[in-house]
Amino acid sequence: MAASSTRHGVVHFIAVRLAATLALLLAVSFVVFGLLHLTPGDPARNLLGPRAPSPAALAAVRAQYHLDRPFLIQYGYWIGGVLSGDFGHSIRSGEAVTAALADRVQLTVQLAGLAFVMTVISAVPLGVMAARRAGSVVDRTVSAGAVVGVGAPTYAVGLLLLYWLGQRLRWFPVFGSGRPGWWSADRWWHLVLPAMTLAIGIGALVFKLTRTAVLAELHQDYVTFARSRGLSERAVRALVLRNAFIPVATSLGLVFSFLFGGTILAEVTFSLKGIGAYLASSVTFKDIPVVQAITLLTAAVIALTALAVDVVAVVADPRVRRRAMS
Amino acid sequence: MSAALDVAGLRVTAPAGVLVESLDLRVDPGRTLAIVGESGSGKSMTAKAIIGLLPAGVTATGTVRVGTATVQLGGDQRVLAGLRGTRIGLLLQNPFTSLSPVHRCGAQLAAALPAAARTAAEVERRLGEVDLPGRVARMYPFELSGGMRQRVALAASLASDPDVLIGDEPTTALDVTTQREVLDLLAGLQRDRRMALVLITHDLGVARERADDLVVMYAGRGVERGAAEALFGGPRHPYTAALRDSDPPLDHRVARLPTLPGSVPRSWEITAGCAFAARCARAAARCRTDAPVEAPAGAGRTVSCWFPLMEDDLAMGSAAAQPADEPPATATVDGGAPLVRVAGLTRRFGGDAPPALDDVSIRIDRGEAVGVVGESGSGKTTLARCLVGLEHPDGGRIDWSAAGPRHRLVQIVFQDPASALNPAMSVGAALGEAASRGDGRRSVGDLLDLVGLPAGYARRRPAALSGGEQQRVAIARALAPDPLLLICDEAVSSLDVSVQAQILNLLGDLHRRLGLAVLFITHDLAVVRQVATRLYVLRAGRVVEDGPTESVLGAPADAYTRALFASVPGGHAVDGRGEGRVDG
Repeated sequence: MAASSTRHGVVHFIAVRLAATLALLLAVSFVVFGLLHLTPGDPARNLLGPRAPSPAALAAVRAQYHLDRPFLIQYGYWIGGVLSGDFGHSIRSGEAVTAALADRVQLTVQLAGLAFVMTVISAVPLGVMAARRAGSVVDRTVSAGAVVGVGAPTYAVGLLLLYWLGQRLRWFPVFGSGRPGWWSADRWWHLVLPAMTLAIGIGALVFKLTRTAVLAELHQDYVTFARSRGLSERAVRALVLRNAFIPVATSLGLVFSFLFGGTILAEVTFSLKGIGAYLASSVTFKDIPVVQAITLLTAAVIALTALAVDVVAVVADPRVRRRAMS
Repeated sequence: MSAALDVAGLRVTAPAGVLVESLDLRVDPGRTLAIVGESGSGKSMTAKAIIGLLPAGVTATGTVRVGTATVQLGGDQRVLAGLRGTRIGLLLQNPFTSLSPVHRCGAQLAAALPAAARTAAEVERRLGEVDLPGRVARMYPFELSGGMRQRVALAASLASDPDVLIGDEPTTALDVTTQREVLDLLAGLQRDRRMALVLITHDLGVARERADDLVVMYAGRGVERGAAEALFGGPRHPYTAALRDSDPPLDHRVARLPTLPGSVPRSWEITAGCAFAARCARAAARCRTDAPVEAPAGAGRTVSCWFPLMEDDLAMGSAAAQPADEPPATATVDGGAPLVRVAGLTRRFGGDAPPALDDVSIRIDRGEAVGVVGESGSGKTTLARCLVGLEHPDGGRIDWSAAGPRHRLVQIVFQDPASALNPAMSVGAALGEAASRGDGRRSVGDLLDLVGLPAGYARRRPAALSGGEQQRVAIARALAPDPLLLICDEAVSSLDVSVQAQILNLLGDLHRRLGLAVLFITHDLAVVRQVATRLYVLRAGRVVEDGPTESVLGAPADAYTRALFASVPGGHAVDGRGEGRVDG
């Protein structure tokens, strides 16, 4: 009885949070659509870009964007398009935003994903190990390295990796995005160095968070009590890791959001065609449809990551589960 | 009979210095040894050293024999690790932190069971042993009350059936009625298993009621040992006597609690002589130069003192704690309107939860000392917070007969002075700020003088003060705006017994000298008996009994008050204090 009502409660909680996330994204989409009108000047002229607009072109763009209709109707047409995957056309290139973005989104997701995996598989175990041997030579060495990792600028690390692993040792390509595709080995090969660059900075942070979380748990009474009952070190470690998992998982959610929005320096350093660099140049050129699409996409990733973190917390922490359900 | 636990020459060292100095302990199977001491006495470190779970940087030397196994401390850690659980167990003080919060109670209990016995049926049987229903196995610790959690912890610590259990203040965090239940349970299990129990406690009542033998520790040293009853009846060490006398009695009020000056020194600051010499009225030149050696003092007793107390001294010493004939002085009762009248006060938190306060009515006259007694969840703190305006009642009235802003009418002193004082603010600045809210009549120097602290303390920060001194500063700060009513919310509960006596005497003095009304909120019946003329007993947000202290405690009418009274450890045992019943 208790178990099934608990499961029911968790499902209910996820449904409520999902609805709240959708409401949040709706609110964000209002702001994003408002960008067109917040930009100084005539929206129609802004949409046509720096070219001298002919009256016919102006009329066409007004008709296409329904600019003569009330704001809410305009928004309705726009959000309808967005939901069917139509973000309009790039002002600079004239091509459909969705098509222009598809490849770039794929690359950025791959880059952020690879960097995230590298971070998790290196920084979390190192953090656990350093905490378990707090004060030892190993701990002090890795902790000192982490300070360097947190402090080193991304582009500097990127250039260093490019020089040593790319230029000198020729292990990895130094330029370009490789052949596109989710399963393209060439693409992943090209992403190793940029992902490593991102993972060094972020990983240092995750290392410190993990070490702090595990160390805090190791000092808890329940560890002393578990040892006093003769539990094996393995059993004690399982208790500690299960408890430390909660703060670490929460911080990993933040890290993923940050990674997705923070790939630009690596993209620029390694000449990758991702959304970070694309967003920067689109802002410069006031390419409003592209800026809208990327902003909304990034907001969606951040909101969904936050949702995932909340769900993990509810599943992993019975205390949070109790609060979420009352 | 061979001892269940025999510890010889235990010495515990931290980076700062020695924490425990050459301590010997011995417990036989089925017997209980209490280690009694105030904070800083080294009793908790002793427990952790014996079981080999000292914090990083703290080391121990000495020999521990558990049954037939002998372990040299400071040697191979694995030997002791092999004895943990099966031969020797540990029960910690705080049931809220000693279990993992995200694992179910059943799993935590099962983890220490022998592999073959890790079944749901066995877990249920073990829970039954500590009077818990089987469904607790599927619950998380946060879903249980403190008392139930401590039962789960007790069952877990006994899972591998140790021969020796060390209880480090195992019931200190519990309410007095729950404490009695857990101690009874523990005694029963101990009897069934013929288990030896080392009971570490600061509570003399618990030690006296539950222990066969006693070791009194002071600043990392064992100062006196012997059978509990003999030791309480006729202490040989001046510290044991002082400790006993400064513990407020439950059955009568004393005019003034005998106190020790100062507080327990850090063990590593004692370089020569007796650790207690600086606070000892009997100390002579020899006490300051030569450390006393442990010497026999009667059957099965030893004392480490150059000038131990004799029977004549004891008779004289106890004269200081004569019962007071008259009730605590009430400065001014002018027969007029009460200072504050609380009527029908109600406060709810959350929807379905029972109200924290449910139709509570009390009154406090000018200059009167009133007590509010209750266990956790009784609503006593909510009542205090409503009176000072920190909490807004949902219903009822609080009528003051005096005019003025609330902070000139009432001030409050909290339980934990360390967190009640701003650590970044010097004592002088904190008192000056508080005084500026009054009419400026009291200077920082006056306030420090009022609470018995030297004027030089104005420049110090709270961290540089002892717990008792911090609480004096908190009291001075509360008195700074010259309030008519001082609320003490468990203001002496976290203090050592010798410091508690000092603060209780101080509060009594302030009450009389300043004509201050005092509302004393506490769980401790013995404490409230010393300070309050009238008493309200609170349970689950309702006043269940009220009246003059002597009649409420002398002949409790309500069943709950009687249960509370009966639960006080060592409370009903007639002790050697006062009334000329000293029998060496």
